[in-house]
Amino acid sequence: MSSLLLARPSVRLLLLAAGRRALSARPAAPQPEALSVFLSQSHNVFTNLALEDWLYRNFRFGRHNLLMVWRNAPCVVIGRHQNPWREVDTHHLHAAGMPLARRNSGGGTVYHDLGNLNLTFFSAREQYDRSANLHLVADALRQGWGFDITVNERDDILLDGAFKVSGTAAKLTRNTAYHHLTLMVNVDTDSLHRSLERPLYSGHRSLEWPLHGLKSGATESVPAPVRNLADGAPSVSMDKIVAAIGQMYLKQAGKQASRGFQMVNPSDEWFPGLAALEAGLADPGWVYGKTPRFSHTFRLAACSNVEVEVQVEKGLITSVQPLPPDNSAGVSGTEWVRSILPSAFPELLASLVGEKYCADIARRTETLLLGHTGSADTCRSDRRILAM
Amino acid sequence: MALLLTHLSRRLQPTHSLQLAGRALSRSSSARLCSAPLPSPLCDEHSRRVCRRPGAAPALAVRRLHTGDRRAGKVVPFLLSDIGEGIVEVVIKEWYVKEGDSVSQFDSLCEVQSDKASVTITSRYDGVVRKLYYSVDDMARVGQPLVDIESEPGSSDSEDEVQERDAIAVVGGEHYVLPTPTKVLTTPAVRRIAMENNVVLGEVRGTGKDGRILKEDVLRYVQEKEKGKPPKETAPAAPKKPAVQEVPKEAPKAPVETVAPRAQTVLLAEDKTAPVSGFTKAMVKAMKLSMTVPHFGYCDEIEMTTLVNLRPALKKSAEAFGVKFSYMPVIIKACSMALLQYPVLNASVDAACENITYKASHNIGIAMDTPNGLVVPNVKQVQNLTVLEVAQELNRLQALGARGQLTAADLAGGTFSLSNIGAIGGTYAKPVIVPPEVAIGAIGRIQKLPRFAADGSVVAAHVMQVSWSADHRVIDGATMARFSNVMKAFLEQPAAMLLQMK
Repeated sequence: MSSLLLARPSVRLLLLAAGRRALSARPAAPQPEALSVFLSQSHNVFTNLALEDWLYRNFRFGRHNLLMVWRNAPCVVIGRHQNPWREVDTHHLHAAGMPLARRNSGGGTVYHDLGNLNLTFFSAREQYDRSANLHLVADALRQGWGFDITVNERDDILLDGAFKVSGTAAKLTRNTAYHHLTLMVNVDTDSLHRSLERPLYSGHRSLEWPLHGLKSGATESVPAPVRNLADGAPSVSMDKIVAAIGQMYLKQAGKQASRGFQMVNPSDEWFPGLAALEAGLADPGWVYGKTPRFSHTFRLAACSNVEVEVQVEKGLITSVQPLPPDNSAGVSGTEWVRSILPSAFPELLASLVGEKYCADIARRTETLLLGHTGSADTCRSDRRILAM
Repeated sequence: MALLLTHLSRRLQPTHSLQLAGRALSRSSSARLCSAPLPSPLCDEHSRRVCRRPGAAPALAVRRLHTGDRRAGKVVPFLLSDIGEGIVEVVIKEWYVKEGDSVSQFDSLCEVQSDKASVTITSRYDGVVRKLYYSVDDMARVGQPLVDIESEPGSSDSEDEVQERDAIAVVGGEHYVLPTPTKVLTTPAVRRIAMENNVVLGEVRGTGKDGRILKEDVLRYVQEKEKGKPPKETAPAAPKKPAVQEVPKEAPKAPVETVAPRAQTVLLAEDKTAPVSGFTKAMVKAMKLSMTVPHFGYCDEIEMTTLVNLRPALKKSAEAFGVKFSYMPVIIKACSMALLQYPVLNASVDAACENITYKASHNIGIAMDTPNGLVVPNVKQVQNLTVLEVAQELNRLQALGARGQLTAADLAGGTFSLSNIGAIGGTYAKPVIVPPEVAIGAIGRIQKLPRFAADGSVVAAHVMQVSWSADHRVIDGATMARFSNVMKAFLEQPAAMLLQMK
């Protein structure tokens, strides 16, 4: 104790922290007594995300833990704190009729289709162990097919040391935690690359408005070379992978703990409240409105390359300001625009405030600035944004 | 599906259900750390504020004047607790509260993100948020203050740990035995009140967060008990348990092989309504479907005397193979042999009864009473199995069923069903067909009854009743009767079975 007094403040803090942690050390997490594997019978991304959320909220884990196995029809899923306009080309997705969903856990953007397997490991907060789950999956794949599978420090599962076959994300609260990961079994990689193509231009093809001017604190996805497990291993099929991983999971806590595979039909009558969760997840106010605050700066080539900055909060535009160049001292953006474009209407830009942001923003701004009325207030991209 | 749904149904009750799984969650709080006055270096700024009791001299020199009673609304910095995985810094992604909002214990405060994990931080105290230390997108350090919460004056509950322990604090009268130990969420103060009033916490409905039982809930329960209920014949008040309750040991698991009889009785003080959910709901659905099939019944008696006399010899033979012998495999095999002669009984009709499929394989389902309820796994391809193999398979299914581990493959694909209700008791029954099958049989108990022999004397015979039900749209009474006669002949004269066995 005297050493504590003599120690430097920074060291003292460390020792205090260590002491406090020792005193308040949590007892070792107990093993679950029962394990089940749930196979979701739905391929709707919103239904499955809602089911995951429902189980997370309504089930008390700890003694009985779950592995939920689910697959979705082609769609794109962004992380909870991501910016959809930065991650995907919303125009392209809308044109392709591909749904865009925002999940509850963090992490990056993923493309799902029926060749992609989603696994969610549910447990009590104390039992949460991401790397154990990843190693379980890796072991199952190695034992079943002899793949060269490793787990790297970013919690990615790598095939042949280089190709990413899985992405991971997690959500924790006081009592419960879940860790979900994707596994690429035989995904349509062409569709994947097309859907996850980062938009360089903000939608209007004839003019160049690069989107690197989009600044935000949102989580950015880290792109990586991907590969399917089925490439080069013809004996791989989705059912066999599910069986292998499921069996490995069920064996964890001993034979008598296994409660087997259960087919689950996510419907509101079996899971009361599921429909409400699903509606919430499909609501554009969640998918687009949950975007963290960001600003988008772009140049309008048709307006003498004037630079405009748009601030967006909760998916709604809060300000649209033309930016004067750095060497124009004291001149406001509006004055600058009037000086270089006498026929422009910079004051009309204020009408965009309160509107929903969409990928078309540059075209709309240009239309307003040049005084072309009529088409400025309709967003050509996702119609769902208008429903927000 | 049925098996897990029973587990689900126990946990699918609304969140204020009394049956919450979980271990005792006694988190150490600073309150516990400061149960004795600690010397100042170990009691940092945070604990010192909390530890101070009125009138106690502070351990270190006071830097400011106390002009008022600090107890009225003390501001406590809530530290960002350890996220785990060695993480020291997280990014604040979203605030759910702002300064001036009032929060209760376990309300969500904010969402933080550490690499791939998104964590919801919940409040540990009741009170009003006075200061947010970070804004969105800032990096917060673990162990540093996150928010300042001013706890309400006089709220002693905020520092008591909410403990999740067993509900059985007091054992009431002799008649009252709870079926399973339930766990409830309360503070020690509430437990004390419950003990004083002789209230079993498992009976009280909690209205707090996550089903917590609050003081008001216990008092309301006591009032209701005094008002409308008839007085219970209770034994003299049980001796009060000590304040520290130990988690009682788990009840030893019932042996796997035998079906444990339900020994507990529950005396309901009032009507209890529960929604039909989970396994029972699945049965409701299945039975509704069965009721669309027009059933007819046919019952008969089979003399099992010869088989019963053969039992010791058969038992010895079976033991040599490590198989436990019973009559059921013999009955199943006899059934299959009879089905070879009447394949229409091993058929399947579609829902509209437009097509009938004669199944090649005799997958005979055996209705089992497991701890989870009624399940019907089937023995596949009985026509190709010997009686011994049928017995082995039956034992395997029974063992799995008792543990609740039957797989979907075991449960699917049945073509004919038998129900051995006689194992529990009974003679004649009226079994309900399992769609899309067309027939089912219920085997009664083997009883020793007096019967007339061929020469007119009365002999003791081992008699077993069998009750058949069949789908009258495709099966007629004559077919059923002839099939039953064939099976009866096999069982009454096992030697004949020998001749025809494939």
